[in-house]
Amino acid sequence: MASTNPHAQMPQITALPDIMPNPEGGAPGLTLAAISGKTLINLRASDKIKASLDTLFGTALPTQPNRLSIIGASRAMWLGPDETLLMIDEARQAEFMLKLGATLKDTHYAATIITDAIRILRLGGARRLDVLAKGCGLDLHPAIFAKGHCAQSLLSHASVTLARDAEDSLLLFCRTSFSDYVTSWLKDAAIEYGYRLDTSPAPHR
Amino acid sequence: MAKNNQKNMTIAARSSASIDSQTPISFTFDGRKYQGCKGDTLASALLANNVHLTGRSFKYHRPRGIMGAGAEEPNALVGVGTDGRIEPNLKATQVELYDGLVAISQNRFPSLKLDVGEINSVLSRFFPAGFYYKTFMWPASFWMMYEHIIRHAAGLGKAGDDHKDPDRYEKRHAHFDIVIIGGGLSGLMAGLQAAKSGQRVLIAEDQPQWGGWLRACEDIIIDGMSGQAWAEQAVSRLQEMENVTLLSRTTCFGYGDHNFLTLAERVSDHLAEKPAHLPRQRLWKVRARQVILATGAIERPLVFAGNDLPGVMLASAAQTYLCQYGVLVGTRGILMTNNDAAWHNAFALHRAGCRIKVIVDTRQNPSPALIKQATDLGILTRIGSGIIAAHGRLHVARVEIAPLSEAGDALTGEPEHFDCDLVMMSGGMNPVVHLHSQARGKLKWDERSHCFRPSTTHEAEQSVGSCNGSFDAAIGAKEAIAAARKAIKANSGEAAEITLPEITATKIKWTPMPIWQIPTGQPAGQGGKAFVDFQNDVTANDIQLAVREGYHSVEHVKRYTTTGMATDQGKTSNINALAILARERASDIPSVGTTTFRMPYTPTSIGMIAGRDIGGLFDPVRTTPMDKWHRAAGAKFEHVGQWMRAWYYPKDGENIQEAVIREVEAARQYAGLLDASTLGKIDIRGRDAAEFLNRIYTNSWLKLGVSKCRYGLMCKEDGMVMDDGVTTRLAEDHFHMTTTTGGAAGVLDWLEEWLQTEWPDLQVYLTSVTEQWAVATLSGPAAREILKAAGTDIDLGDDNFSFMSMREGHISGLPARIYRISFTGELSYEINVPARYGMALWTSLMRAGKNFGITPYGTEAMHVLRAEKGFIIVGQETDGTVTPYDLGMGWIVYDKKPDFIGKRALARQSMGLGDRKQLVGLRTKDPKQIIPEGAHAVLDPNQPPPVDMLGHVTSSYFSPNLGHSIAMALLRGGHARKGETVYFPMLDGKPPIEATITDTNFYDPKGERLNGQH
Amino acid sequence: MLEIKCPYCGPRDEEEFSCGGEAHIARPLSENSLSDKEFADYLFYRDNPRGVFLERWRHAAGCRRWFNVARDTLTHHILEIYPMGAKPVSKAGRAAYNANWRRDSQAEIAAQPASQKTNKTSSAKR
Ligand SMILES: [Zn+2]
Repeated sequence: MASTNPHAQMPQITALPDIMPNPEGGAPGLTLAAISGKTLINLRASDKIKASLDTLFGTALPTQPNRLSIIGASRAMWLGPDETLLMIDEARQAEFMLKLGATLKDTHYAATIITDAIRILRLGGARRLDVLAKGCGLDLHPAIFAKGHCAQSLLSHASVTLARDAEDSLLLFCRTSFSDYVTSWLKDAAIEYGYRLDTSPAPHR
Repeated sequence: MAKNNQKNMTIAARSSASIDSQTPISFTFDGRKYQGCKGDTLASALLANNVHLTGRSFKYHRPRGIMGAGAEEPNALVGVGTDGRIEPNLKATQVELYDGLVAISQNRFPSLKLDVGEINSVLSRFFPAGFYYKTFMWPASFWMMYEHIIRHAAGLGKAGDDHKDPDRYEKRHAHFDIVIIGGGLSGLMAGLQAAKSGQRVLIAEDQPQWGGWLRACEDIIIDGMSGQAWAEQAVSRLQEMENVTLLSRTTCFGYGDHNFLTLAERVSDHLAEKPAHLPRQRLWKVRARQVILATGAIERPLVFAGNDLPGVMLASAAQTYLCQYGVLVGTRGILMTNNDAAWHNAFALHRAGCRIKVIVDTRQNPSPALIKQATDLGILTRIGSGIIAAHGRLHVARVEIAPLSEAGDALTGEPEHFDCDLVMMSGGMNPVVHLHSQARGKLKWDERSHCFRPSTTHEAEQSVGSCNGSFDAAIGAKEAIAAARKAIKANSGEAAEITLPEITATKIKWTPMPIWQIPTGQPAGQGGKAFVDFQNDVTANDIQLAVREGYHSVEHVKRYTTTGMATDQGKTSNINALAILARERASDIPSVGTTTFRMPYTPTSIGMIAGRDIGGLFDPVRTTPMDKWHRAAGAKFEHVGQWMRAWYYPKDGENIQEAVIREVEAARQYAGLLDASTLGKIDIRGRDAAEFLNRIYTNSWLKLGVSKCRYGLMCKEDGMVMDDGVTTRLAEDHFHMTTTTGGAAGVLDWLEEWLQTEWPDLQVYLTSVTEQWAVATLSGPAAREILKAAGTDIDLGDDNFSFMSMREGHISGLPARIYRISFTGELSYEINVPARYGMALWTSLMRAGKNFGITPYGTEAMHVLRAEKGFIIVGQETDGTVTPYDLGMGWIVYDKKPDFIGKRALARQSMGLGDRKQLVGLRTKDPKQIIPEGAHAVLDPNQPPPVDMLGHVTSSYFSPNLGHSIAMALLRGGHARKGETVYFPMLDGKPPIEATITDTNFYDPKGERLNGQH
Repeated sequence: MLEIKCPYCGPRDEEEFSCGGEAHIARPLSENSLSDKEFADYLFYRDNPRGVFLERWRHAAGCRRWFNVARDTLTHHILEIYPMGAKPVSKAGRAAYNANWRRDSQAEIAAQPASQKTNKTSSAKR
């Protein structure tokens, strides 16, 4: 029989409530909101090839490392020299994929829908960067990780992508299998400052 | 010893800027209640209560008192807290007092004043230098004799009882342009310069208050203000600036590569009521572009007989207790010094009411002005003299003072005796070079100040002020500004103009006399113990002994005598030890060199290092889309990597064996349902995808038809099996690869590595889709019927949907890709749906299968089912030393291909040798007996040791479908041994298990069940 | 903890990277006549010098790209970071590359297409 860890039977993650008031009063230092209704497409294509999608996407896809393109409700995150993460409204998915296929026909590319593989959280609140700094080695200073920047890094023991698409909040992408861990970790890290988790899917701003 | 009733220092009478005498605080030390003030440290409060005896020494259990006033304290180590909160080895000089604080002394039994261990002191020949080394080297029989002594003596302090640590600890990353360690005059000066120039600045100060030595210094005037007032003003200006982070109560304990610093912030240690939302301590992981060290200096003790008695104290510490905490540490004092600075400390104490009876200066010609000042105050002076011994039982009571030769190495007259209750000592200053040294900066010996100073640096760091050997305040301040400007420039910033403040202070010549041991006038080894390292109980004699015994290198002497080790890290002992070593070697200090200062600078709690990576957050737990269903069904789980997988589903009090037998039988008789979502999945696209797979896998992939699946084995370049799985051709240039659960991330990285580094010419893109798809594996004779019942638009007939192919369509209205592949040997479908539909798929299959006897099965049943078929599990049948041939899977190696990873290695001569361990099956003689996994096989159970072992069991189960146990094993030359008998000796005295070597395919060897025929 | 400058993402903490060991170990082409012993130079033997070492790193938690690093194993100074397929350009990096025993090994020669066999300095993609 395979041996197993006795802890496997224990509830793994501290059950923290969805709301923890700010111990010092005022608004919670961290807000977390799950974002749904989006399609995520992992696009593998060289800069040259992906440039032909700029019209379809609505604006130029990022070619500079760790930059983010924003147009309406759509986002495009630079993940690597030939890898981009596209986020569009789910309602556009069918048409978008069709046009993408037509545009990139006969080129070397891969566009893979990974909507179900990724959980998206919007992090807000005055202490959001302090919470992230507890597990992320990136320099998140607002002047350095400015609006329009994105980065892949580690949040404690999970891989995450952060995208600063707004002045007062940012997006966090993590794999769905890690999302319980990441959410619990964020809540636990925010106990100092208070937090509020909105589980009801919030429409994207 | 000063009498307790001599309340010369009532609480109300204490006054100093750092102490709030209006706020009394109660605390206990060794069970006795005392009162201190807000702002006290435990040390200052104990001294205010006339408690000097605070601990027993490490080896000899000698009475020890408070010697320093900060991080340098070697003696007054205490345990603070109760129950799970006890923290040992805290320096009383660094413990901030709070109401209700409970502290205990260490290394004493049964009590401080009556300590049975003190007898060690009398029997001290048992504890010479190198005691541990000698004990370990002696004949083994001696070990028993010493073991119990070592068990008691080894290690300082005692951790909390076996309670869970109730506190929270935090960690955080931070980035700064300039990090300044030390918040004294030079640290604040550098901080002001850097902050005004717009740099992102961190200033960290070890103490609760800012200012460092300024707070203990009476005579310094900066811009017309007292030193302390100036520091407060500087800090309030810095606090207003957004680009500045100020951390007090924060010790930088580590300085690592590429300007990575670790700092311990004591957030709530000092609070009587610890707020639940705040961590106790916070670990700062800081990356700095530039570092400025302003860590100050530590006074050196003098080495003389009895220098460890309570009441013997560093002169600077006595002044700190007076000026900073309003505590006068004695009533009748003696100072021994080799430098000017300490004279002023003595004058300060004298003026405050401690009668300084004698100032003993080892130098022949100290400044006449100092002598005059002393004489004017009515203080006797003994010039060119030394304290050759201090006496007293639990406190210093008397000293012997004798004239010394000019070099200070011999007595030139008879000793005089003086009564006293305080001995202040000063042997010069040691710059705190620990962090500079941790950062691999080099040191140079300063012939004027007789200390090591930083010389060349390795990281982008600079030392300023006292830690750079610049003890003069004005010079230190100037140096700090210059260093900050240099750092700003290195950061491509522009330095703002700031004016150097006007600093006036008593002029002091920082040129101590190099005297490293006061002679006793008696032969070596007699005349009382003169301590060099107080914390590790190392005497001058021990160092002499080490040299006599042939230990000459400073690193050897350090380990042989233990000087400068442990929590002290040589703060007070380092230079004296080096100097005595140099003298014994008839060498000089620079050529003896220094030992390496290790991190942490001060002891650091394990809790803080762990932070919040404990309990449920220790490691990520990955869950599948169907996780909640398994939990609701009462499944037991097992960890597979970070995944939690349903292990088995016990029903009505079943144990694991009963549950697994039920699940295994159901999968063969009706249908079983397994959550296989954790399998790694990789989407592979591009013109060269097939060619790529052909090079990755050992078998052939070029001709695989669209919608067809194929099992593949991948090897590392050394020919050893790395992973396996089924890969399906979705389109001409598009494949869906599955990997083992545990291997998913590693395989993706492996494939990327080959594409990026070896075959960049191949047009292939990889995307991980592990979490995109939820997978339910439906397996068993009723599988097809259940799919039909669930409702599908796919023609499930063998003609349309044959074994090892894939169809796309819908199940219960859910979009699905179904792979007809089998890991059980039964008719089997792996149904993939987008993860959001995973739960819906699972529940609809369970509903549809209800009348067909569908049974959810876990990973344990899966293991039994595949073992019945002899299917391997990578990582169980393989361990990185097993080739496809060893597994009997030569059929999957297509060596006609021009190339695949591992091909050349598999062709090595050594791979073909018959004595490699090979995978075989085992049938036990007693069909009910299950061989433990890992059991070793032998041919002759009666052979004498050393036993010749053939190999070991990799998998072993009871097979309910076969009615007997089955096992697989890797045995030397196993393939040629089929039919032979082997034995598995048992550890517990039971007779060896006897088994016959067989094939591995135990069940349905012809594979007839794959089509649901039976 | 080292700070490594990913050629794409810039300076990041070492914990985001994984080290792939010695760089510039060219893989012998499948058509070769290497003896087992010569092949072992490619398969098993790895350098562990005191001083400048050319090694491969991957930005594992970031852009997942491989690149080469010239690192002094004694001081942890990073002298140079350069792309896969390229050779070091710093003086110390070049010296380390050229002084490596592999440059003369049969395994490395067998990694070059026949047309380039005479020109020892090309090839060596890894
Ligand atoms: Zn990168």
